[in-house]
Amino acid sequence: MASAAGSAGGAGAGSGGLKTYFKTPEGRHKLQYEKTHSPAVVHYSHSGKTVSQMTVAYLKEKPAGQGSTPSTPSAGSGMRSAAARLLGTGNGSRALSFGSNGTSRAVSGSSRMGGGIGVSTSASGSQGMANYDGKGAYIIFNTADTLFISDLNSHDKDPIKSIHFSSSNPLCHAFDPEAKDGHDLLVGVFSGDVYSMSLRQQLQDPGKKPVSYQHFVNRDKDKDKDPSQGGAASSRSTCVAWVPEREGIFVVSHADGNLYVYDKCKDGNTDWTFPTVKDQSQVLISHAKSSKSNPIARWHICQGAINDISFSPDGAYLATVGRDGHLRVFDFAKEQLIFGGKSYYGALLCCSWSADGKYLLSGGEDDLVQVWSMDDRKIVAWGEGHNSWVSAVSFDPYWSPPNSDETEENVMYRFGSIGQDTQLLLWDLALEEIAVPLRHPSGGSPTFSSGSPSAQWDNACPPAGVLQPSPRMRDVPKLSPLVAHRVHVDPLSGLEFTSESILTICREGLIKIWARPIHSESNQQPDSSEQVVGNATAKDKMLTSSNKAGASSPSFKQPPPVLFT
Amino acid sequence: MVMGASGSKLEKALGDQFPEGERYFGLENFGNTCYCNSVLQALYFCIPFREQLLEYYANNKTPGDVEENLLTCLADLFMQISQAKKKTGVIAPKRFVQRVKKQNELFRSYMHQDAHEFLNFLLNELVDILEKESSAAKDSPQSSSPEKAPNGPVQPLANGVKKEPPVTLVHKNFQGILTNETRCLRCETVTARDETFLDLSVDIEQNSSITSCLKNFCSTETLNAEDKFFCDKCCSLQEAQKRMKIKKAPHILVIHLKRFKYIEQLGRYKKLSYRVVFPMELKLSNTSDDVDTEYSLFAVVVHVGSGPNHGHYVSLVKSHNHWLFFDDENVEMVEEQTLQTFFGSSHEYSGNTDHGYILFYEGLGGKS
Repeated sequence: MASAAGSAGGAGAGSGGLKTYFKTPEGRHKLQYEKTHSPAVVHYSHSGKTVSQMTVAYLKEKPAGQGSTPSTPSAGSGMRSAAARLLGTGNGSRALSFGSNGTSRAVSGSSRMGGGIGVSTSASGSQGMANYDGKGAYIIFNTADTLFISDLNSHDKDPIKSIHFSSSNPLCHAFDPEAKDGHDLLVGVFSGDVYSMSLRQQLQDPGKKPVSYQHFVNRDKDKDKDPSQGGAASSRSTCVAWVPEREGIFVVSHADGNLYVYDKCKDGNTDWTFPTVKDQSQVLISHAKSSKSNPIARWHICQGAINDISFSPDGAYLATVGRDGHLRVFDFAKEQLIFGGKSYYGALLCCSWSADGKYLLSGGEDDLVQVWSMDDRKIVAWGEGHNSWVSAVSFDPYWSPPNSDETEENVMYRFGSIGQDTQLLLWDLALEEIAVPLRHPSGGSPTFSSGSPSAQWDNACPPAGVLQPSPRMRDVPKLSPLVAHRVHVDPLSGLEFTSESILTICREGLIKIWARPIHSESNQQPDSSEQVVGNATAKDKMLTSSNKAGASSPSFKQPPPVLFT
Repeated sequence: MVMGASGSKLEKALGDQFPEGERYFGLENFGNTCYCNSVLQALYFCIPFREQLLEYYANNKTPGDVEENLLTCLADLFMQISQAKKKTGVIAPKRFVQRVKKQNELFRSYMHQDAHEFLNFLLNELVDILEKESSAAKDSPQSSSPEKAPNGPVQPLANGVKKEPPVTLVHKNFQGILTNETRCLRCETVTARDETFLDLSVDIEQNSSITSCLKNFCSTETLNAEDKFFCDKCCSLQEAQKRMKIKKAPHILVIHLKRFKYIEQLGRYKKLSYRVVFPMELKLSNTSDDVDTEYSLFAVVVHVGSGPNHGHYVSLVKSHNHWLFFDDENVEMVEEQTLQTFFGSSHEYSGNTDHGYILFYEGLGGKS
């Protein structure tokens, strides 16, 4: 900290008003739309204030009979067959009708009255919102006690749907574009419970309550909490995620350091219990004794909150970051710790994977972005540039290096970070440049010896299953941001990359959509003019968006980067 | 809230977790003495300082004719708390407050006072008392009156003429050393001057963190145009770069957020409600060590109100892994996440007026 603070590179953040554009080497990113909650909600914000989070969801065309299912591993097929059998044995009340075509389709579990939500369980047969029967791109975000859904490609600032959670405020949510059995949206709430539901059904229903949902009750929250562990608030949900390549399995992390593995096809209101965690700082994985239990497993990961979780795109690895400042990477199937490391200081707040699964990003309370290597099993760089805590980090899967013909020789990534300093930073990661300083560690340090922390750092590859200690400031190579742009008035909480834009959301729930630079020669862009697009063009964009498999959420599969050249 | 009910409620909330030998006592407010109470609670839960003060007082109380001073009043108050029969309750710090008002005219009125001014006054007063007693203990007639060590220039021993002032328990806990470096951009000569501190006062910016405020505190400043530096080697005014480095990190790092800014146009101070986040752990690089000093947050003095001359002070204190909220007489347990509500406001005119003002970090034993 004694060194002079470097100024942020690229377009400087406006010291006065907020700019409506920022520049990268690719061109100008313009503020295209803004989305926010209904103004009526503002006065609720003071009771039980929550931080707004954002999920981008792509709804596909409803599956038709002639559509071919993509090939899956045999184990996956087995899992799906098992799920089908479970569904078959369920009672008839699980059958619900979808929209206008009237075909009957089984969904996981029937709706529950748990949590005191007096919601009607009958599916609405309304024809009025047939528009949302088809495909589309949506933004799901939460403010206070309400979950909002906005149309990503619409100019309307207001959401098209509000879902009110009367018993406990929504805190986090996740969408599974690969879900085959109806429920694709997860919502974690303050009480520690989780709800699963169908996004399509919510859009079709004209009401303000969740419809046809499944309620997964967190039994652990009812136990007497150790006061020193934070009381009732420690059971709150911090992150929900579907497990890629494992149909119907999802995980929920909590502020008490626990992570639960659920099966959406099982009953959500079962009696379950797991052994008491004696040492809060040790990893402890327990499986449910009864086959009827849901959750099917509990992972106790760290002391204090798990702040964020992220699956590698293939679902093989799970990364967690926590209040104790550690990133941990697990082999999810084997339930083993692969490696982990500590921040410089303070908690880690967010984590994310590269599309190829080779690198991880994290950010937290030391204002740094950490870059971790899966091959090396350790930190490879720190990004300095934020003036406050880092809230979200994400690789840009739609970006490719300008000299893409040499892509095998010179690997480059683009990633972004946003923080409570209201800034969006974009970074270029060129691994060849980063690797050089590590090969020639400084011999000038008077404490350098084979037994020193530097020697530990200089190990080519730490052994598996070990948490690395916090490195010293001088030992880690530093990155500077390409772009630093103040995008909101309020501290930021979320960042998403889509094929056509970058999305940012602040803690108060305002979303901004920054259009990517337009390349007129590219056939990827249907509209080359800079004027505001009309409905027809918007529809074309919708087609383009929905053609891409997978959401841009870091928890899910990332499509290959789109080449603009 | 009834005192008894409050105390028993806290004990019930803690239950078996109530720490052995610990006491949680509120302090009575005698009319705008919350600036005093909040700082006292923060200092009381600075365990090394509390223990060393009580030990020093026990060892030096033997001479029967020791004159009453601020140190004896503070030690008496700390002893009254630590040796109370009950685990919770309320204590009236009457003698201490009277002693403060007697010794400093500034605190004599019933006006609202600045907690940071009080903290500075108290620590410096303790230094004076301890240094006098240390000199008196030597019984040397040739001893000169000791210089005020905190926040003044330190003469290195190499220069020989003056000797180091004695290291008191206040210095042991709170003192760090800053190096002011000025580099002439023409001849590249670096002029360094050491300066001790008992706390760091940092400027704040909207939507920033303590990390970036400390970084700005140590950032490089260019002296040019009208503000050139006279270089002894060049014998002329030259462009220069000036910066501050932490040479020695204190054991207890006290960070004062400069939330009260003088506005020339208005002719008065205005409170900056900026949102400045502070982590539970912190690190400082210092130039005399290869390793970074690691700190853990244990107390926050919070200013409540919209201006410097009206408002209230409360403190949040960490004791044995849980956090307590001290609001004069009232003591209650709060969750760690509650501290985030005292970061400040992103909007200038929001309803939130509770802002972290003085942060207390304790150094962890082993350096990372």
